[in-house]
Amino acid sequence: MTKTLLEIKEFKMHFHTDKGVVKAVDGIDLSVNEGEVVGLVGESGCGKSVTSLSVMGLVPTPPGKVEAGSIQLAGRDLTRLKRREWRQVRGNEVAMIFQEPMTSLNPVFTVGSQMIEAIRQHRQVGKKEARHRAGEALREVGISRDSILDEYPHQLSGGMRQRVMIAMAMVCEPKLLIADEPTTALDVTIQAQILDLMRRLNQEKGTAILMITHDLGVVAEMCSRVVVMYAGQVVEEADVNTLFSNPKHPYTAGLLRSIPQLDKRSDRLYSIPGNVPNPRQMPTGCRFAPRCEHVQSICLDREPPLFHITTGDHTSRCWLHGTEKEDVDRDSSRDVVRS
Amino acid sequence: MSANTTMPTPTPSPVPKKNEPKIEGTSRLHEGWRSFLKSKSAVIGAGIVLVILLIAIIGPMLLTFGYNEVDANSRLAAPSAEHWFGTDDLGRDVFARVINGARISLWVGFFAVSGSIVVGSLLGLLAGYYGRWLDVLISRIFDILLAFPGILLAIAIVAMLGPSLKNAMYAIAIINVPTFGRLMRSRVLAVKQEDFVLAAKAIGMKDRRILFTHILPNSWTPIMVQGTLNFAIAVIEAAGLGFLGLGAQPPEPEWGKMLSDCRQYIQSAPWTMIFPGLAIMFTVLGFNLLGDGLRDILDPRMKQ
Repeated sequence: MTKTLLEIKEFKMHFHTDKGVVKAVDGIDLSVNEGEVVGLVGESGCGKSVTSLSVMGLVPTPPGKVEAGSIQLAGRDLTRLKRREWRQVRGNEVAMIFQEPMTSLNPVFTVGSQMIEAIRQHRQVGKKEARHRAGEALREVGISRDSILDEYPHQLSGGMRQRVMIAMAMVCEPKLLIADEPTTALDVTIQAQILDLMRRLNQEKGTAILMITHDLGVVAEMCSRVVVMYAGQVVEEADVNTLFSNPKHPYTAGLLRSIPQLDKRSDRLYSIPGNVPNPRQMPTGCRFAPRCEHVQSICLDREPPLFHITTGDHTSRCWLHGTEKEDVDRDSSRDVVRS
Repeated sequence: MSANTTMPTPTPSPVPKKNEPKIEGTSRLHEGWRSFLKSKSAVIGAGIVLVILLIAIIGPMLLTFGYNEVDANSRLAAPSAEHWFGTDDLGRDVFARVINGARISLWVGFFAVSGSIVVGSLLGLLAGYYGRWLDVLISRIFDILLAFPGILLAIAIVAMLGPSLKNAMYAIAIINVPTFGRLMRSRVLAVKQEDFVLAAKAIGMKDRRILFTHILPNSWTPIMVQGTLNFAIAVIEAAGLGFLGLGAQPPEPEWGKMLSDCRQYIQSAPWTMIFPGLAIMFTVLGFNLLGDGLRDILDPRMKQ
């Protein structure tokens, strides 16, 4: 069960614009095991979406450019794929669902014709067989009415559309499903249904899910491991219980504190002071230092590596959890010190 | 051919409609038909276009005179029961020539506009979708074509190819290419940002398929409206080239040519010019009204 399916190593995706280089993803390490649900958390603009699009090879290049690192899917380096090889991977081995189910379907074609198209993209089957499979895929996601195949997207509700998107993504039984904020645009009851559905698909089909979200509630409910990103870097990684009970990085702690608590009265909701740094002008040293309440002098001129916290796979990119010396001793395939 | 196919088009509406009761697939057709009937200019325009179309198709079969039949005894005769629109300087029946001229004008309009739509849309599609050097190249070609006044460029092209109706048609098609090309390019730039295009890429679809199954069907409504409006422009341009002797050659009964042939009789026998002139006017009016109406119907912002 613990075979690594997706392994992102030292991956850097930079955007070269007229106004300078935007380091959207700046050296991240991330792995997803087979059948695992991993959460990728962070606020807007931290590089979550660019990471997920990089795995799909959907970052436009230029302006995007892979500066370093690799993305291995089942042992194959995706950063070296040719266009034709990419098409074999997309939809077949990795599938993706998007935030806005309202706009993810083509408004001028019926649901059925779009699903059939998706199936025939990867499987050599006739139209009839494809339609049959589309119907089955819809039943998997809880739509038992076959007539929906002949309906247009505008005739469906948001929840139904997201189900259709999931059915379409799952139709070729990918090993990895990337869900880019799949429930953000849905209301809460539908959100719960969609999450249920995804969990069921994960358990029944063994599809690994990379759940990209800024909703920590979704993470707590769905994921077994969580990766927290800030300003293009991974700042903390831990299994879900550890992260919620014992967050190590001040940014994670801040995120958790900013969730409103039902059982405590407070006049003001907590929010982390300041804003995400401008990606064209990253602060030297720790990227979170300008907003951090534990900031020390070292934070302002040396960038912290990922430190292992005592037990297990818990890592945190913060000087609170190690010193420079410790860092030099470590063997590190995952942990890097930048000068 | 144009009026029937353009009327009840299913409108791709990007506006999500919530809480809509379940309806069958034909409802969009009905909805389109209803909003078509509501638009006065579209109905009147379609009516005029339909009448001209009918005249062009069956009119010539019902005539008692051929368009090139000379009645030497009644030259420049005033309108009468026998010659409804009078006769021209050679004694040809003006009514017969105007009716036959409808065929020529509609053919020229149809082929010139379809030609520029096909070429322009394709170039616009490529420029908008692939961008970069291809976009620069294609857009500059459009700019160069647009730098000349349309009719001047058409005259230059016809001068190069030799004056004939066919060459006039090519010329009109060429000068209208940038109109459609730029329109298509701008639509494609907008549509390619849509999530469903990203989603299509994410299921591993080829660029070519994305272009023709996702982007094109979502981009063609403004092209259709512009095409109807340009039909009117093409008719005028064909008449203009005919007037200058660069389009239709005698004895073809082309409206513009008829105007220029008889311009010395404008005072003594005005019917030789009034009727071809009116024919041009009504054709252009019909297509303009239809085009304006279609634009109102298909513009999603006009929807309530």
